[in-house]
Amino acid sequence: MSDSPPTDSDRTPPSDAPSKGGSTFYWHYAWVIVAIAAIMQMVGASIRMAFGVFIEPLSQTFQWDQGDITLAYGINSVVSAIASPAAGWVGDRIGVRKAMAIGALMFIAGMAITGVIQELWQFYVAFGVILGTAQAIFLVPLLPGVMRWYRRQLGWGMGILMASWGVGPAIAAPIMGLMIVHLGWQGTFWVTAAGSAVIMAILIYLYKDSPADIGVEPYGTLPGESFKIEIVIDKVKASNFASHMKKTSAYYNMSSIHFLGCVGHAVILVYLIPIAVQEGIDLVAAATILAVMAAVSVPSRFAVPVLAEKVGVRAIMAIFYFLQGVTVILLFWTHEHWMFYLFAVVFGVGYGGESGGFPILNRKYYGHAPQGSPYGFQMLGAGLGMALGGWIGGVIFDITNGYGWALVISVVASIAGMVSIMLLEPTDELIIPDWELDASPSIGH
Amino acid sequence: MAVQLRGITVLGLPIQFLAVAIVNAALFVYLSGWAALARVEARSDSYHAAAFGEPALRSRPGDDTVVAGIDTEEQPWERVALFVCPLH
Repeated sequence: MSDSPPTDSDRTPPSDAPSKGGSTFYWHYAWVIVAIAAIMQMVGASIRMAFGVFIEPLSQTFQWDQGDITLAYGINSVVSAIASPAAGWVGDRIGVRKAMAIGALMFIAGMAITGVIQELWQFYVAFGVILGTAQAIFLVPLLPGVMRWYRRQLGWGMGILMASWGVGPAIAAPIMGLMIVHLGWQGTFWVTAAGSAVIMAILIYLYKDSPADIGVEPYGTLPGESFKIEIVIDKVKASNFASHMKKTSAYYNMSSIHFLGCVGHAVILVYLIPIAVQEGIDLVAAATILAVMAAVSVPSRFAVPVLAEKVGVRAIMAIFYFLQGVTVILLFWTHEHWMFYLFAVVFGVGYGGESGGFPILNRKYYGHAPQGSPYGFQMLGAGLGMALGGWIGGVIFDITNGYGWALVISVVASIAGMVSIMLLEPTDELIIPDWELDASPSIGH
Repeated sequence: MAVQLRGITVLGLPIQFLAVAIVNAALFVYLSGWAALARVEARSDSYHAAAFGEPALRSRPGDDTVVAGIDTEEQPWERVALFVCPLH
């Protein structure tokens, strides 16, 4: 965000023109920031991603029902969704580095407490509430924090960050599984807490809120461009931007689009294994199918932000929503082993690209304004979508003894998201370029 | 058409967002009600079967005896779901 009033160049979203002597890529601390954010999110989300491996040990230790145990995952998802807007606001107000420190303390405390639980309600508080809140703090402010490091070529930075979201699930479950075998479930929580504390302390030390902290300009800044970034947004400015932003349709529509996309893939992520098992495929092979899907999603996660920046964000997002939705139809005729693998590959492409366009869309609509709040609101939509999609399949199975209607809802949600993307405002101009000049927000954009 | 749709707001909220929120809230209410009803009926059938035997064994041609209904206790969430859903 510029300190001076917006100029003509501020009215249009930044292009990805090459810089630094004409080269598109060059060494910059922004890449370190991307790596820090990627590792931080993978470490922070490790336990959530590997939740399934804890179900049986907890069930054996305490004789809890599986439904009671998985309710903790539901609480974690809902708490994380509800805390997302607040997490974005905190990141904007106190800076991402301090927010990361708060999130790290909550994560370590939540992990350590989960390792000593004796009652179900303690599990819900430690895993559901404390770790759910920590998850929101890791997920929401970090992404706008990375965006601050890029004047141009944001797509590449976001691509690497998004790809890490696909790598995490592929490696977390096997590591946690091995640790449980050798250390027990309590030891796994404690060792993960201790290991995370060391890793997070190093990452927080290396993280810088702003390029100005180390005396450089954001990545892609052209010679002669003056560009200052405020790491902490003062209360008046933050509330001024928020009041303008909440008058734009895009603020609400991006959240509902993310919601629809997450409903679309949550049904598949949660119920693909039961669907495959129902078709006679053994559990290990079914889990492998899911792992293939996660692995295939990685290139998509990386490519979508880059393509969105270069080709057009709405078109790319609409294509990947369409791919995510239409490929689910295959499942109605998928019965053989190889067909499930084929499904995993084609669905993984669309699913991987579902979320990668949002940071680019935010940048195109709101420029370099504080992005924590809008992104937090979008993550609220995403979290509620994951919770609803994860719940729908089980309910429908209990009633109908099949997943057919859940798959229909998944397809409809993704296609509705695609239509909603096509109805969004064009991205060739910022929606509220003059928000810093105008103290009283106008209605309707 | 896209421009016209984009401009429509209700209570300050865009129509796209409202449509998604309302449809999904309705879906949640409907599925909750359906799930609650299915669980209550399943328990009721199970109690009937335990008390009077399987329905197939009970019913005989010309037998018009009405078996007294068994009140099945509802869990709090089931009561709320059935109260909120107008279709269940």
